[in-house]
Amino acid sequence: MRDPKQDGSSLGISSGNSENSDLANSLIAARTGDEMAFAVIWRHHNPRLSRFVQSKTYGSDIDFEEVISDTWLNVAKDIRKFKGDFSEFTSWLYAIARNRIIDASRKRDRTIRPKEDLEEAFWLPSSLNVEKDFEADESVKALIAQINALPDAQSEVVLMRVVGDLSVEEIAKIVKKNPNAVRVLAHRGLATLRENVKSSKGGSRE
Amino acid sequence: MNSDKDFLDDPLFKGLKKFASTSDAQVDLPSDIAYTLRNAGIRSTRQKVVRRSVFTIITASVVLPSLSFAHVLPTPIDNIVKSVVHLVSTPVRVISNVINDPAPTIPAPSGSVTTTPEPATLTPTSEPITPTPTPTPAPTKTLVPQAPAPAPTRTHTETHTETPKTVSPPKPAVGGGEKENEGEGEGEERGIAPTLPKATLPSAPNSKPSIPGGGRSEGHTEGKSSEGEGHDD
Repeated sequence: MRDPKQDGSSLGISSGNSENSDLANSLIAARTGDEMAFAVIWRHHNPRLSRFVQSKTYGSDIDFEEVISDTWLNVAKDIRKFKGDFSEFTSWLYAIARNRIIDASRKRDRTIRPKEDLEEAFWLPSSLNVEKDFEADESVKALIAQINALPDAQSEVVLMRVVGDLSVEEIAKIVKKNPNAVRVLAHRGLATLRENVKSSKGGSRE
Repeated sequence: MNSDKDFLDDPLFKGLKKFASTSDAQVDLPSDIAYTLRNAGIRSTRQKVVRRSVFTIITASVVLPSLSFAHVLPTPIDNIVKSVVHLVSTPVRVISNVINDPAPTIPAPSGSVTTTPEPATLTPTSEPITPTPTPTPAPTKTLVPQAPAPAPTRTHTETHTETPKTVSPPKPAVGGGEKENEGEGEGEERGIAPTLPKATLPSAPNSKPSIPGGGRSEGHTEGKSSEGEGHDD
C-alpha cells in the first residue's frame, strides 16, 4: 500500500505552483507525524542537500553520509516543533546540515592528532575516503576545491546559492546575516573564484 | 535581482549546477529516519501528556485550597479538599512544631528541677547576709554619744569587728583640741593600747574636765587623755 503522493506524477513537481502547494501540504501533514508526507519532503530536498554536504566536506575526512543522516534524523525528531512555511523549512533544514558539518569538523579536530606517524598507522588518507563515494567530473571537483579554499563565509554562501539553490533571503536566515551582506559575500566569492581559476589556468599553461 | 541572476548564470558554475541537479538513486525514505519520526511522535505525545498533567496538578493544588477557604466549593468537595490539605499539611505542622518548639519543650523538664531549688537556696542565704550590715552601723552611732560607763563593755566586742571604721572618725574629731591631738598621735603610736585601758574605765568619769576635746573623742581619748594629761603636766 503506497501512498499516491509517492508516485512522481501525483507529486505535482512538474509545475511550480502545484509543487509548492503540495510540498506545503506535505509539510503540514509531516508535522503531525505523517510518514508518507515526510517522505515526500525528504525526496524533494535530499538530492540537493546531499550535494551541498558533499561539496562542503570535500577535501576533508568528514563522513558526509553520516552528516546527511544526522541532519534528517534531527529533522524527523523535531519536525513537530517546527512552525513556519516551506521556505522557512528549507532554511531550517540547511541550518541543521550546516551545524552538523561544524560539529563533525570539531569532532574530527578533537580526535585526529596531526602527527604523521599516527596518520600513517591508524587512518587512511582523507582523499581516499572522499574519492570512494563522491562521483563527479574532475573539473567540478577542482571547482569545489577552489570554492572551499575561499573564506568560510564566502564559500558557504556560494555553495548554498549554487548547489543548494537557495534564495538570498533563505541563506540570510541560515547564516544570520543581512541579505545584502549575503549578496556581497556571494559576489566577492565569485570574483575571487574567477581570479583563482584564471591564475590556476595560467599556471597550468606555463 | 539582476546581479543575483547573473551570479547564478555565470559560466563558471555551469558544471557545478549540473552536478547539483543530479537526482539520487535512493527513492525510499531510510528506515532509521522513519523509525525516528515514529518515535518522535510517541515521545512528543508522552511529553505533552506529562506536561499537561503536571500543569493541572499544580493549578489544582493552588486553586482548590483557596476556593475551599473561600467556602465556594460544594460541601462534599470542600470536605475532600480539606481532608487532603490536612493530610498534606500534618507532616509539615509536625516538622514546624519540632523546629519552633525546641526551646520551651526540651528545657521544661530539666529546668523545673534546677530552677526551683536555686532560688530557694539563694534567698535564704541572701537574707542573712543583708541584715548583717544594717546592725553594724547602728552600734557605731549609738555608742559614741552614749555615756562612757556602759559604752566600754559594748565597744569591746564591737570595735573588734569594726576597728578600721571606728579608728578613722577620731582623726577629724581630734581637731577639737590640740592637746588631745598631740596625745592621740602618741596614742596611735602605741597602737591598740587604747582598748586596753578601757578596762580601767572606772576612772573615766573623773576625766570629765577634758570634755573640750569633743564628745566623739571621748571614747578614744579616755585612755589617751591620761597620757595627754601627763604631757601637759
